[in-house]
Amino acid sequence: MTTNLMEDAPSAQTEIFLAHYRKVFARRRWSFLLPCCVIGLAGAVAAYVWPLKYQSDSLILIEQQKVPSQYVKPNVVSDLQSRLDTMTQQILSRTRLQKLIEDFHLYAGERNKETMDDLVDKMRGNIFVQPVQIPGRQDQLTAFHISYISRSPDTAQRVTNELTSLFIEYNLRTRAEDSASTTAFLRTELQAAADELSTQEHRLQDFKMKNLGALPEQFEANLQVMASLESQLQAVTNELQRAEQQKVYLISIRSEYEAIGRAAGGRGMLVAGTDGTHRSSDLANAEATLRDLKKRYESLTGQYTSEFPDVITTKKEIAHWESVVADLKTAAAKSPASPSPSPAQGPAPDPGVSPAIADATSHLKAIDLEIAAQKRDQMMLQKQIALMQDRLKETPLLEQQFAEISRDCDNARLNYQSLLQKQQQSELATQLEQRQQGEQFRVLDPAKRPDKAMPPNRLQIVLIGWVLGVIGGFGWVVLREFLDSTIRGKSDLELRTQVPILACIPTHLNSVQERRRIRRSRLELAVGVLLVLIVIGSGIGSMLRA
Amino acid sequence: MAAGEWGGTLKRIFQNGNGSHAEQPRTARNGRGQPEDGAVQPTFADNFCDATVSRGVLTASTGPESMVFSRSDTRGPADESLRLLAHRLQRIRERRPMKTLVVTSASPKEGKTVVAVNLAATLAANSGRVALIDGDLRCAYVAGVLGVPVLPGFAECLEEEQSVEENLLPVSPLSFDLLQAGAAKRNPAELLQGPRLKEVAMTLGSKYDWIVIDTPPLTPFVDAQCLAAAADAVIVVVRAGHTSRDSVARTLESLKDVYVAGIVLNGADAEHSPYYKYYSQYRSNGALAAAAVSNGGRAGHD
Ligand SMILES: Nc1ncnc2c1ncn2[C@@H]1O[C@H](COP(=O)(O)OP(=O)(O)O)[C@@H](O)[C@H]1O
Ligand SMILES: [Mg+2]
Repeated sequence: MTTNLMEDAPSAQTEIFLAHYRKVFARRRWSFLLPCCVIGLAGAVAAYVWPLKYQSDSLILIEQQKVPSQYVKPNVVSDLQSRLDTMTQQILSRTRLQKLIEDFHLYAGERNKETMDDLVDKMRGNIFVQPVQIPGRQDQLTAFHISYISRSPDTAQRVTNELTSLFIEYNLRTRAEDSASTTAFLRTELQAAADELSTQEHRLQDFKMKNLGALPEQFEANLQVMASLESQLQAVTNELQRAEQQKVYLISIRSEYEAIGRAAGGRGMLVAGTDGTHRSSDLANAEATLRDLKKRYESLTGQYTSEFPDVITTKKEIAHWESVVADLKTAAAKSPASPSPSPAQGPAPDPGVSPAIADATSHLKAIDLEIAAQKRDQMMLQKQIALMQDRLKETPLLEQQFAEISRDCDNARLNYQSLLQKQQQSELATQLEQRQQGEQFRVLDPAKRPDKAMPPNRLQIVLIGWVLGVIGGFGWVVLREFLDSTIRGKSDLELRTQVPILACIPTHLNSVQERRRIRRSRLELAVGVLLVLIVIGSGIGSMLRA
Repeated sequence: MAAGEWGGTLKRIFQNGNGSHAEQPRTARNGRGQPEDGAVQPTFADNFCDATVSRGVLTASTGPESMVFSRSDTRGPADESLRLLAHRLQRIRERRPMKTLVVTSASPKEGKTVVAVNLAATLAANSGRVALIDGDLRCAYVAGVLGVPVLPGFAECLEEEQSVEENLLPVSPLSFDLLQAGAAKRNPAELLQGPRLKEVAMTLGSKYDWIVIDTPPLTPFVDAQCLAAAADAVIVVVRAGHTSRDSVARTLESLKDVYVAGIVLNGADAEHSPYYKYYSQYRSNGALAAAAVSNGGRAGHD
């Protein structure tokens, strides 16, 4: 026995511990039971008078437009969340809610106690619009809940249904309206753009007309024309030179013939005379040509080697012309020219002149004509070239203006085209909305009549009351025990005094006291059970209240 | 049930389980313990007139209905604790001579009277000559605890009207002599501060081995201080769940001029210790053994 007792010291320890608490509890049973019952009863009463609230809820699906959006781009593409927010604001407006309150006879009890504004605020607090978030796709809104909390389940359902239809109707109407107004706006914009475009086009036209030929787009062509004109001029000049050489040659030939004729006949005075004048002018011409050639030669040799074909030909020509000048000089020395020019009537063919001379003369005449014609051509070409040069000089200036005008015109055209496209799209989208084929709200779950009240329901309140009662009872016991300053037992006393404790006399009850104690404890038990039953019964009663 | 009976019943229910002073003598007197009938409160005069003293011996009621639990034939936890108290006092006396013990406490209702009576009974059972004096001249209750008629006693002795010897009556079956409080005509404090106290103490001291004196509470009366000064040792009673910690300290402080033999913790339920379990097992084993002895023969046959 004794050994067994010593072995299980830890369990004995816990036994002492438990016994201590059992004793405290037995002593403080009423300190526990009374607050416990009072709080429990209070919980039951609270549960009984607690206004039950019912929440009805409907789920609305946001249906995407039926025609794929790559075919018809929707006109109303603002963020669904923000649209839902504005919609909520609109629908929960004071006037609308007031109408709902009046139609459904909501808050009948508070009607005469509170102002309409308070009621509207109250109702707003009882309406919840909550988007359904798809986990992982926070930005996408595909459905939302509408719910309303009311004291009566039927009202909750009816008001929720009404709110749901308000939302759907509002969405449909505002979408169609928004879409139509977008289209109308685009239409006026398009008109403005068309006007602008035609103005710009006219401006461009005028500019082109005014600066025809000098337009930058004609620059290349002008350059080509210029080149061809220059080559033509070159050709004409060459031709002119050749003709003049020929003329010089013919003149020299004729004068030779005349010299021969004078030598042969004596009638070459006139010819000589004329020939003399001719010869001096010819000499001057030839010398000028020779000077020119020499100059050219110098410039050429400055640039090219002696093998360069131009250098070679120029050299040959110089040689030719040197011989011609020498001939002319010798000829002039032979017949010294009279300083006063004879009154020659022109080289009219002399019937007495030899056919060779006549031939040369006629040749000369033809050459002269040719030279005149060539000179005319040259003049004309030079004029044209000058004109072209003017134009080409003007072109860069014009180019800037032209670029400006044509840019304006292009912009106007682009603007017009994009507006046109948009307007057409918008027209299509509006038609879609009007045929109710666009994005739509569809009721997925219509509002149900809630068959359970919102938490906390009466059961929960009663249970909370019980739990709080037990906690309160324990708290009160602990408090009483803590505040109790009486001596509790031997160890307690030992701690406080040095005086020896001679004995501890346990409570002794005589038979009368014992009987009284038993009776008393029975009564206590009965009262306690009765109290607990009252608490439990009232709790159950409260729970069962409809 | 009549309304009056209801009132009486309810009154008893809500009265402290320790009982009232006035009721005890009546319960003891009819001896059957029927407090239900007691709607009439018995008075001091009642008891005095009814008192019957047969040949100078008081017969105490020591049955289960009394608060006297320290008899040689009982064996409960309460009388074991009193035996321990008596033993400890004997041990103290081996070291220092003492004969007169004053039982006191800070306030009323702590169990001074009950402890004094039971201590006297236990000491008497152990070692012969013991006297119990009811020194509570203000609210005497020793007679009530013992269930004996109220007689003149200590107060009369102090007033020099009667001798100590003629009022010291033996109490059967507890074998100690009792000097009751009596009825003081003057202020008890005055009586106790007078010269007679010493004489009475001397007279008693020569005749008895132990003299146990019950006293009124230390506050607000001076009586207990006077008695303590005249005695050899003081026993302080502390009632568990009743006496506050401060009052214990104050009491001990006020008794620092006299010898305090120790504290008796009254009404303390046995502290839980492994030995408590052992103790209860020991007791139940004893009961089992007794049962086995009584029907041992039959058990052997089966
Ligand atoms: N150990 C005890 N067990 C049960 N009751 C007790 C005990 N001690 C005292 N009492 C009761 O307490 C009450 C007061 O006791 P009492 O001795 O008259 O106190 P005091 O003399 O200190 O005023 C009495 O009714 C008595 O029965
Ligand atoms: Mg007393």
